[in-house]
Amino acid sequence: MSETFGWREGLDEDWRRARPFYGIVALATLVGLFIPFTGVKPIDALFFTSVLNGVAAPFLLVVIMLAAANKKVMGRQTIGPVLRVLGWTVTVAMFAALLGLALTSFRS
Amino acid sequence: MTRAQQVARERQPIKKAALLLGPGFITGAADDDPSGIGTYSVAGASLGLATLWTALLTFPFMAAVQNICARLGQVAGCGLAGILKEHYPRWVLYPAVALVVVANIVNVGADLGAIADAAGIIVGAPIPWLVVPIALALLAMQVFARYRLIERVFKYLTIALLAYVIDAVIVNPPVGETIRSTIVPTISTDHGYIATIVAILGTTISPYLFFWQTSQEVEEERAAGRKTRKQRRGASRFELRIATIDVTVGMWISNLVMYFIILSTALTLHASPRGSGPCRCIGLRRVRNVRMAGGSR
Repeated sequence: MSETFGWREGLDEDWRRARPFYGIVALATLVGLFIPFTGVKPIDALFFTSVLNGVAAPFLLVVIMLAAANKKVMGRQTIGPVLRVLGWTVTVAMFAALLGLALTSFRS
Repeated sequence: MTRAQQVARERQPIKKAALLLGPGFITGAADDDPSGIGTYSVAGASLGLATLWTALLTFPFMAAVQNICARLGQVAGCGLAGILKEHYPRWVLYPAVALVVVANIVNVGADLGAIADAAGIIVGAPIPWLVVPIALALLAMQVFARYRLIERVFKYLTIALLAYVIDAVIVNPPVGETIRSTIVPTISTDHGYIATIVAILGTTISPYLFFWQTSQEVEEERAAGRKTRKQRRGASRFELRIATIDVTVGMWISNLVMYFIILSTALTLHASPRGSGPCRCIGLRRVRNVRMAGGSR
């Protein structure tokens, strides 16, 4: 977030100089604070969080894989073939799992 | 002084090994957060040993993904969002950040609720009374403590996760069936089963970990005195190698704990007859009621 909007950030920054960064951390905590009050059971919320992460992850993986192989970002230190194959395999696998979830949710 | 320099200078092997563990190790521990532990417990309790194979199979992939993220942080010298901002169009940056912000806020909320729930069992206070002080305490630590202190606290808290390993050994698992479930993946088209697999994948290979790993590497360099982006750009071979060891060990421990959580919950919560007996474990009753239970096995 801080990087997106060009704020000072980092856990090692002085409290006053990095105020927007801590503001966002505080906001996330505050918003999170209200979820338990909605009556959703904690274990259901935890499980739901994981499914949500499973939906978001493959999309982000695509971007990460492209960036890690991009010479403009990494210079000469782009990732090698092993990391590349493993990374793309898991990206595809996670999309496949999502597809499976979507398909079976229509059936039941 | 950077950690790589400290490692190179240290002569005593044990201290050297301890110095090797840094951001990767912490990220591995962070992966076993309440939502991770909760999800693995639900998987074990509702599906038994069926999902045990995921702990073994996800390890190389998770290690690869986190190594890639660590490399991005080390070489580019800034976090993921910063990299996206500099090199990619806005339509890539904003949705990516939005995905993570939404997932993180839900994650923080669910984790806080679970911490309050667990604390409530110990101190006997209702959950809402505990959420606020816990959130404030965690926030205060993030705001006022220095990176090195936070790093050290997390490093030692990781040891607590090994309790799951001991737990699984105590319940005396059936060796043959356990090994078979570990190596042979169970494939099922049951909706509850697939949802559990998505959840396991999502909590193991998790968006916040991508951002966290990248930023941790940057924090690491910053704590070593490389204050500007230019100073942080690029990384020596030695630094990269140390990060690889650190990250891979961290992910190995993370998946080891994951494995034993699934194993011990499969053998205790799944094995016990449904709807009888007292609640021995946090959320046991809830696990039974979880819609995902499916009962396909």
